[in-house]
Amino acid sequence: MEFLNSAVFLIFAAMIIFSSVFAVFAHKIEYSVLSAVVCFLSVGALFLTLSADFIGASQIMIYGVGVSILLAFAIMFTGKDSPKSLYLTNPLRVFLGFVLVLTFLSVLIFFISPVLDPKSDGAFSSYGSFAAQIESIRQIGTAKFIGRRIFCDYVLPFELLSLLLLAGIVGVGYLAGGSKKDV
Amino acid sequence: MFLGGFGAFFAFAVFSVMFAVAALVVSFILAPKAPSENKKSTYECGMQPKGEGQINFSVKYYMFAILFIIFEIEALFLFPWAVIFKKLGLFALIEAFIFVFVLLLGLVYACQKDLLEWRR
Repeated sequence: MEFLNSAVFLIFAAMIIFSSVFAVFAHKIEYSVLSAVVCFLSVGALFLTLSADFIGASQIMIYGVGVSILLAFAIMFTGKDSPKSLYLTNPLRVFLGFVLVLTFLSVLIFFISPVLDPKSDGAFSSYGSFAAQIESIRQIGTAKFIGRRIFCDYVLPFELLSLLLLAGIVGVGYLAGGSKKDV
Repeated sequence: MFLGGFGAFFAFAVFSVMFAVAALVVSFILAPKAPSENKKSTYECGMQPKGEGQINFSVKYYMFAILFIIFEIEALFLFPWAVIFKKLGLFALIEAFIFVFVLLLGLVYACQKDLLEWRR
């Protein structure tokens, strides 16, 4: 069972890497978007395999569906005169991209390594043994855990979130309001 | 826990994808192929199409996508509430109603602004 878990995890990890690399290097913008969507969905599936069902669901719903639709719309707005080939030509941009990725990677390793080290007193050391720590980390992404935190401890931020979304709707109305006359 | 408790789900996904791929592959292998210039044209009879098929869409449709994402986030945050609804009781029910009510105001506002009207 443990072997199969790792195998599925590695398959999705490989899918994420290949689809994101293809999204960067694809010659057509449509292929880039399709492969970015595959990458989003694979990240969601990866969270599901780690039993983080809420994070996986939000990844699939917001990125795999919502942001994909935004990207598809953005492509449909571009005319056929816009450049089709998206080669990475600017060497400065490539260099800056590498610097950004290395910085992000080092920050990520810096924050993750103490948690995963069995000997250290990581952020979850109050949960006892290493196995218990892993189990407590595993609980964090589930809908039950997050629901209990939202509806018992963080009620006000949750209601403020609805106001934030309302502000988003009003913003859309404001942006679209100008084009009402030319119907 | 096998695949984080989603083992059946992943097995279902794999098999449904396999069914679709198998149907395509089998028909690709078994189907007789006799391509010709006429068969490859867009319309076998009728007008000959000119130019490319891609057209520009109006930016107005972007508003639908943004509204879709906003209401999707609303649905997403009701998901953890629905999972532990019975344990939380009346207080959480009121919380969820306030949450939905505020976004209902947004929906009314969108209707007032004719944002939901499909214009050409």
